[in-house]
Amino acid sequence: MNSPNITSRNNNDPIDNNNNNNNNNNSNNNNNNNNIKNHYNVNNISNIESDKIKNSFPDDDESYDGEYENNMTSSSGSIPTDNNNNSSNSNNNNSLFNIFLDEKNKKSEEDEDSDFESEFGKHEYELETPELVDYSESIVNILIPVCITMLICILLIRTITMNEQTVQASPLIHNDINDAEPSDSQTLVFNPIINSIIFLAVIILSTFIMVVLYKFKFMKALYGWLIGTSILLLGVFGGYLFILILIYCNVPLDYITFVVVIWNFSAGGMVCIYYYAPRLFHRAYLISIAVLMALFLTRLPEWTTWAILALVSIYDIFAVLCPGGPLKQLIDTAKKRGEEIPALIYNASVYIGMANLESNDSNQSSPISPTTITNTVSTPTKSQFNQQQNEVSQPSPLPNESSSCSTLNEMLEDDDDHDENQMNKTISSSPSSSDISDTNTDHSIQISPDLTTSISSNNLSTKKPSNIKLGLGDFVFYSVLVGRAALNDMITVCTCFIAVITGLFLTLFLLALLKRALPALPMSIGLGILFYFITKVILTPYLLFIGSTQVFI
Amino acid sequence: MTQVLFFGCLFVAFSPAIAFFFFVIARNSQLILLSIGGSFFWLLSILLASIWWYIIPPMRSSYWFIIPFSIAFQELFRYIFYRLYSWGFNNRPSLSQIQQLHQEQLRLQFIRDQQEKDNNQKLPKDENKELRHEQSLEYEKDNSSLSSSSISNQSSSVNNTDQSSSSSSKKKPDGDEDKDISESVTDINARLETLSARPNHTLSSAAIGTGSGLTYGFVMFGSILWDATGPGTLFSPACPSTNLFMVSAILTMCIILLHICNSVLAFQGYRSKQYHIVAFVLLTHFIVSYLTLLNQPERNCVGSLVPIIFITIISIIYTFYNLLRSDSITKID
Repeated sequence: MNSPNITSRNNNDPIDNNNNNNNNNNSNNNNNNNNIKNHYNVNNISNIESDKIKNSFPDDDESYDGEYENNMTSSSGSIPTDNNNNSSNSNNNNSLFNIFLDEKNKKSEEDEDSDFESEFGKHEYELETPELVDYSESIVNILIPVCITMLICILLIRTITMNEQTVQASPLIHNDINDAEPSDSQTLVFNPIINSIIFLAVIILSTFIMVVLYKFKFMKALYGWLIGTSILLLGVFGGYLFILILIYCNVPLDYITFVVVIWNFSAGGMVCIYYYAPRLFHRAYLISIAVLMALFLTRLPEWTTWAILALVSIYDIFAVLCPGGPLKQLIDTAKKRGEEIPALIYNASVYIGMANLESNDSNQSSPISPTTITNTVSTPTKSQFNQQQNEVSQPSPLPNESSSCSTLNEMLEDDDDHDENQMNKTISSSPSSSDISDTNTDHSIQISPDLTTSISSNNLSTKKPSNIKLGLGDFVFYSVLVGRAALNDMITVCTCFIAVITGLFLTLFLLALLKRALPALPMSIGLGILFYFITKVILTPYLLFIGSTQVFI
Repeated sequence: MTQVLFFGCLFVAFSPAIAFFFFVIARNSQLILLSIGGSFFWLLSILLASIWWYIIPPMRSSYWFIIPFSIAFQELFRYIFYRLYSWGFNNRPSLSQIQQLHQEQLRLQFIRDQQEKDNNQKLPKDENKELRHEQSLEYEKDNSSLSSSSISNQSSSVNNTDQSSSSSSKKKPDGDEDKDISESVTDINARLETLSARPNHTLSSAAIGTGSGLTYGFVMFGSILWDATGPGTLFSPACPSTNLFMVSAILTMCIILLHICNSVLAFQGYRSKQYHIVAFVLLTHFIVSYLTLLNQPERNCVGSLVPIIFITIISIIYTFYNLLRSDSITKID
């Protein structure tokens, strides 16, 4: 969807971080197109056509862009200062409301602007060359990093932690692994409960602080907090893990080199996560944060771990689904503002790219529905154009944006729809909220590339309509579960691994059905805990009995 | 030295299945999901078998009791998974068909819109709306007939047992139906469309077999294998001159391959109602399991290893023979 116009404009504003992200998005997008092309014949044509259309509306686009960018900087920049924000937010509320109105009203308006239709019908048709992408592919794209995280965790725990028990050389942290079995039944029951309540309180507190900071727009404080905690996490836990690896490999190293390596690692991580980096590094750092956090949490006593896992997954249901839940509040606020939630979220959408999973055509029951565009823009020409497009793509149901109230804010709203499922995770403690954002239909075809890119400068996810997002906290707690199993037995590891993966798959499947933000923890963690105890109590003796004489069943 | 033994046994046991997984199954994300499902169902079967073993203490030490029930549970869950699979995927269009239909649909739609545009100038708004609705309904009929005909052409060997269930999942909204309901149904269907596109049946059954086989390998052999990294080594009680890990690795490899073949064969047998194939699967499974009883002390592991390898080769050949005879391989879409 790149046009030379856009890139040149972006290059003129090197200061703006958002534009950098924008470039990044564009390049990703191209990659996506290439990837998709391998599987299906996707949309070179649409690119070309969009350029054509854009050229046909040069004036409109420019005026639109200017207007839009003004609005963007005021409402969704990292540090908003304008008074316009309030008004734009209120408009957002209205438009949000409008989006969910019935589409019957829209029908009556659909037949206006037949002139436009006659002019651009052909372009429209070409624009909608099919963009079918497997939903299964996006599921697999989120399953792969989870598997990688858990595998790294298992290997590290099986090698280093086991080794450490014999060596006893860790200078920094008291090793709790063997303290898990107090003889007293009372302490066995109450200690885990108290520990997990404390843990949950920390999570709730940090989530609350985050929501407050975000709601009142203390964005500098929020980002400062996030960066500070993640740099501490990478530095301290990464350094500790580095020392353990050095001990395991029996390699001597002086402190100066050590400090330099650790500093570079964590500072580079900050750049990669919060600023701009190749996709590979970005994801590698996200995974490494999850692994480090999970390694740390695995060191808690055994029953405390189970209590924490259970409580956190129950809390996750509340936080994501309950109307007053903090994460839901955060998501809604971000939706209103049209921003990406500032948190650590693994976004698998980049591989998938242009997928358009849900298409809303009511009349056509046929399985494959054409992609539709629902964005409307404030400029009259734009809205007309959209209307016309809606007509072409969707015969009967017109998206509401075609209605008169279409404003720029609505565009923001549409973006927000994308974000609706995002979850948030604070780094240090964050409970897992899974954000899995289901796809949005709307942006699948961008009318004018300028429009979409300007949106995406704000919001990384807008460009890729079918994105599944998973909070890093989910990664952490899955890995904690599997890592705790890795302290026992390889059979337990195997069953827990498969249980977690299956639970995640079921969650993602439900996500496709329900199309809203879902908590990713309860199903996976529940299955994982169930399988853990069945395996530990019943399956392991069974397999040991069978395996002792090498009988295979 | 134990590290070398560990990696050697690991690769002997798992490399054929893992190679198959990465070179064939990992190409298609749907197959990956199916293999995860297969592994999960195998895990459920083994958990049930172990619970069954656990709740009947007097029979705990009798192999002649353990083996039939564990095999019965595994085959039962394979059949359940087959029913689930056919409920989900039979009568669904494949991905290429979906794309074809999609393009076709867009073309028809474009034509229809052109017509509408002409009509637009002649008709008042309300009539126009109704007309459009009718046209879209007609188009639905075309589309459904197109998809069903193409499916029936390609899946002549497929046994369409579950038409009611699949049609319920693919429900077409009637004209009288409430708008919202029909919209939500089509919305969900469109979202699930690519997810539930019909994969190639042979490949998907192989994927399920690979998932269950790999899980089998890791569960049955993983804990034994991990002990190989420890100091010292262990020799098989049946063959004192042979390493226990090596014997187990070879057996695991054979049984993983047998799982793949059994899954393909059983699915084909269920699908085409040729139950002698299913009987062959059951028979090989029983024979292999009982042959491993020869690994016990005071018997000879040669008596288990050699026949199991032969059975594996025979069932692989039989699988390919069956697939070629029923044209399942040449029909890959």
